[in-house]
Amino acid sequence: MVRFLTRRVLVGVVTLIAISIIVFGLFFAVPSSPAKVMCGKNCDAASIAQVETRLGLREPIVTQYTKFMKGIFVGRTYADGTAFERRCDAPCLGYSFRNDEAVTTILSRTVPVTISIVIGAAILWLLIGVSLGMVSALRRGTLFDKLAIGISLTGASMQVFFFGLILLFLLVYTTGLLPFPSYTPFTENPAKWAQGLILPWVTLGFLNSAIYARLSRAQMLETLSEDFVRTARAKGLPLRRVYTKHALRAAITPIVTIAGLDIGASLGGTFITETIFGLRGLGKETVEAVGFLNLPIVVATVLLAAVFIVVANLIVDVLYAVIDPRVRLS
Amino acid sequence: MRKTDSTPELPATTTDGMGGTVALEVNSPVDAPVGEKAKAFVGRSPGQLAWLRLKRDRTAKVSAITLLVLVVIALLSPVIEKLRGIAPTQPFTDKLNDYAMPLGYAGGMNGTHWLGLEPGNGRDILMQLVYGMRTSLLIAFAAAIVASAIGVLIGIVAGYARGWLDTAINWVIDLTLAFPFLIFALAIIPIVEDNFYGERDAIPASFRVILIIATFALFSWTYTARLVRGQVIALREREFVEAARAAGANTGHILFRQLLPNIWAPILVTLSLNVPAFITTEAALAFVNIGVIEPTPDLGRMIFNSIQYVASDPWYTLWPGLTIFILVLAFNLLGDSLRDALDPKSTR
Amino acid sequence: MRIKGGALVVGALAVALTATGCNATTNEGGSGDSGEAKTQSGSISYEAADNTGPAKAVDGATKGGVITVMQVSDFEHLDPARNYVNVQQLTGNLIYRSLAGYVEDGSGKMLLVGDLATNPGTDVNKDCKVWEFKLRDGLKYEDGSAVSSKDVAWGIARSFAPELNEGPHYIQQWLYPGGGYNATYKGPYEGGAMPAGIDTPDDKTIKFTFAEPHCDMPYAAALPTSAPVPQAKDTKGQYDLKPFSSGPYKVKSYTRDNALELERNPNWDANTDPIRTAYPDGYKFTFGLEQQQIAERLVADAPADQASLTWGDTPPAVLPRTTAANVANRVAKGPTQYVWYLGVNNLRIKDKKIREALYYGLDRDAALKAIGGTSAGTPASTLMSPTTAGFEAFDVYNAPPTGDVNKVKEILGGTTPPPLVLAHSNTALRTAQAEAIRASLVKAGFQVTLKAIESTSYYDQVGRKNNPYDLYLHGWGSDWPTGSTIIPPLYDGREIADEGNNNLAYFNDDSINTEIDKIRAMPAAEQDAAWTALDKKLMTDFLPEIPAYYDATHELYGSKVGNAYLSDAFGALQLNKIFVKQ
Repeated sequence: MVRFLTRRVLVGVVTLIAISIIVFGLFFAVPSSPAKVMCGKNCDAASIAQVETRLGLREPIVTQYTKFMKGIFVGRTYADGTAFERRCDAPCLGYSFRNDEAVTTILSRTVPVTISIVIGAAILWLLIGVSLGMVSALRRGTLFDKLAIGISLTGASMQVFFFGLILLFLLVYTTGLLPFPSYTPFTENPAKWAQGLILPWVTLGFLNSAIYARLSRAQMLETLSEDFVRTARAKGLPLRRVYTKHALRAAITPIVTIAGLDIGASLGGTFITETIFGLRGLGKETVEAVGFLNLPIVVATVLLAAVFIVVANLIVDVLYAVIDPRVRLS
Repeated sequence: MRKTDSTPELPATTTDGMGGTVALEVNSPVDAPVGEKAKAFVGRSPGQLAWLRLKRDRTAKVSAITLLVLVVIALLSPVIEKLRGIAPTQPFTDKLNDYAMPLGYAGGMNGTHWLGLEPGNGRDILMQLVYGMRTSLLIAFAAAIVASAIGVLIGIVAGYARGWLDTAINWVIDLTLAFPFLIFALAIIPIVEDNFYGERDAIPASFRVILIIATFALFSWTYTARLVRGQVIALREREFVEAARAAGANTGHILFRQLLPNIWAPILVTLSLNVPAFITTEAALAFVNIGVIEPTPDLGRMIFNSIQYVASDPWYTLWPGLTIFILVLAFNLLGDSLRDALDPKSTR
Repeated sequence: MRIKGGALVVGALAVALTATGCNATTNEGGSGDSGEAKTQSGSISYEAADNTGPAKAVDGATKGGVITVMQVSDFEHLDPARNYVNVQQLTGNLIYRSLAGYVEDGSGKMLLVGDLATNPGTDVNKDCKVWEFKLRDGLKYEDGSAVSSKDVAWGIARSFAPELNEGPHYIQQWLYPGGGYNATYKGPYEGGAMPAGIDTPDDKTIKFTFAEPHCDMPYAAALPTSAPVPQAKDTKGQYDLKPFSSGPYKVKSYTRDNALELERNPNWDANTDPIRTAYPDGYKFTFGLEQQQIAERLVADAPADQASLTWGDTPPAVLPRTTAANVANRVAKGPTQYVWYLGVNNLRIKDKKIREALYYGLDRDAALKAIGGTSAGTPASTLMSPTTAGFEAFDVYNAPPTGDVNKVKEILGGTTPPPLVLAHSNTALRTAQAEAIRASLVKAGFQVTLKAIESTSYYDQVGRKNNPYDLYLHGWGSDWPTGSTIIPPLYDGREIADEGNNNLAYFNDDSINTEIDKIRAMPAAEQDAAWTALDKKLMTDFLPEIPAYYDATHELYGSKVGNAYLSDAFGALQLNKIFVKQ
């Protein structure tokens, strides 16, 4: 187990390094200079040079990269030769001069928003989706099953922006049943936190539970036709026990995998949901930063998103072994 | 012994409606009965069986016909333009009021403009729709095919190769999965366009379309690759492969003539479920301004523009919304039926 | 069963469909007239009554509450030296005070009076060359310290610094005529020298000495670069995020791209201020919502949004619903001082005939409908806006609003015009508008290619002298309501630089340049008519670019916002006398 974990973590780190190199290279190739965007109108060559020095853009890309990586561990100081100086403490993921804030400060503001959206939605889609799928598998062919398939196919064929906007019009703009979504930290006021996020939860939750219902139904059906279930039933085990103890356990394994990866990927930013509901999470922050060529934020958020996915992958692998005894980690 | 693989052979679904598909097992290789006259009641290949099952499936039939009709309409859009004498980009601003809303009833629907006019630009919705559908379907089909082709190729190589090559490919898959698609698309599309075209060059619409297809393919081959890899690992120790190897067949022959015919079923299912996923993702690209550019009609961009009018001119929202919904639903249904037909175990 | 699931969604749409489907949309129903164009009777007042605080109270106004301003994107700059955008100046006005300012009530009759100064500037020798301002008594910063004329001088000095170059530079250019405004003097940061021509004999007096007569000085003194910045509080590039308050409000918190909160500056004394009433206890500016979301929320007028307003134009998709009785009374609409031009790059399109053909080919009606129809503006036929002092409506070419294809063919006379590249900002509305313009020009026989440019760098791109584009839509609004801030910045060819141009037509003609100098030397009273005559001459003889439409604004506010009116000086909702209804 320890050897397995060490290997996976190492591979994850290598993946992250590779991603950071790709992002650095990608934005190095962007035709317009971030210094120019930042410097604005009437910017003469000297001012651009100054901003470029401040951003560290005048150095070769390899130096920029090593400085960035070093900053993560020991922090760094930005200076341009004038009295201007900004200190960015470890773990320094860069400094945004547009905001005059360390990137970590910006992340500490946006990440909780995205996490709140994803956690709430994930609970919804797992609870509703998986149970709907399981029940309709057990009641195959009944009206319930058909209805569940119908709803889940509808959901799977819809887009977040379409469904989300319809909900906004129905529940917020027209009837005023709900306030426009907003983010209040959970620690400040849990009720307001939930009230402000209910629409994104329902939107993401509904669309994804549809997908999960289909998935778990198919998985359960497949499991039910497996030999070991037949054996268990033939042995005379009570049906309920067969279903909950044996079939469910086998059917849930791949769902855990997908859920883990999905949650990991969503944590990296749910841009469309955040935009539709005007919530400033990781996704919206990143896309806007791309527009402003605010590279420190882009690099940091892409890396963070990758960390979420890599970690989710790792957790899934471990969980896999716990749930499914056939898989032995070596 | 078969090595238990710790990497799950399953797709990451997306919140935008990419249907999660279950890894399929094709139980027996296609043993084509050579020189044997098929008897009336046995001897049907799994492929034939699947086709029979598919033909009996009413849902499959309905959705296939729906899709066929839509595809034909999309392909015939220039003919429709000729017949109706209305170009998709032709503005009818004189038929809009001072707020640029279409005059008349129900979003300007009448004998000339069957589905009404777009508010603002006053373009004929029907013509925008059929041409837009053509663009969207082209992108979705092309991306799905390219992604599958790459995925199959890499998957077969990885599955058959073992050792360091397999490890390396697996790592590249992990890397691709961990890289945010949207950010990559946002960054790469302007860079590539600037490199290929000068400041005054008209960037042909086809170029942006190709870029979108390439970006989709670049990020979507991973699932097929994993799937194929798993299948190949399962099959490569089978007798028929060993027989081929013993007979002196080279690797290429074994890979593409022996293994590939045995795993086409799950690939086909993936492909059919990828198409609707790409249709919706393409619509999402319009959200971040990197979709198909004006004046090329595009269903995704039309959806994005029209959804804002849901309260002011719901008819404008209805038509593209309904079209994309029917398209995606039909593809999903067909994909499901296909899976059921190919894998009798999970039939309802 | 599948239909049923589908019906859920379609059902939601059906509610909306039946609501609108039964009524025909007619021309009368949605006539969004943009209001009467009010020619600004802007005048400079030296009357003691106008120049003495406190500001005239608003009937029924009450103190307290917080006004929320919902904006799509954050301000670029709040630093007074870098503040050159109307909504930024409206916001800046709450935090810092310039030497002069406008007293307005939304009627079109605005008065330029002294703000920090006791009057809008004394023309010492009656030749417009030496201007003196005396500061009022009792002016204090947010920390209680007194405002000194030396701080005003420092504020102007720092506006020369290359890193703070985004603001207006009229006074700066007048102090250093000939060449770039900061070619000689580059601000106080290196060496600490103050600009020549500014004297501060005592803490209450500041005197400007120009080489040439500048009778517009009172207007220029109303721009934010004359706001006081104490040297000790100057944080240079970071001043943007927390300007030191000399006005009724100070920065409470500012999170870039998220929110800016202002709270009362307890040291501000209403008796020193003839311009601001400062009724609300604070302001909150929120950034990051889409304009669509903002407009929908303001139309819905939920309790939480009732004390909110926006400076963004109502998007076309929401416009039709602003005519409902309970919404129509919460709309501020009307013409602004901006004019939108179809800029023609004269370095590329040198033939006036082609520009004339473009004038007739442009479908102004379609270009306007793409962004909301008449509530977004009205077709233009002059270079100066109807709000300019001395404006006279004229139409040299008499083109119909939808364009005249036959006239284009007649002018071109069978010759093929060169292929044109139309650059546009890549926002949804500007893209739709560019496509409308493209379609109309193609119909007229031109060959036009669209080129989308990232909205954040649009003006940088088209402001490069050697830009590769032929056509681009751009807007310009006067800095004060006379032609002197329209014609010279846009058509004085001597001001063309390599980058950052305002003269986007890249038009340069000696006779026009000489005429500009001649008008500038005229007495203020005669200038207005002279600028109008020059406008006519430019349109008739040169047609440097195509006036497309006179801008109008259409802004929404909540039901608890009191005394909301469009500022004549800034063309957006004025905050100085706004209040929260209790």
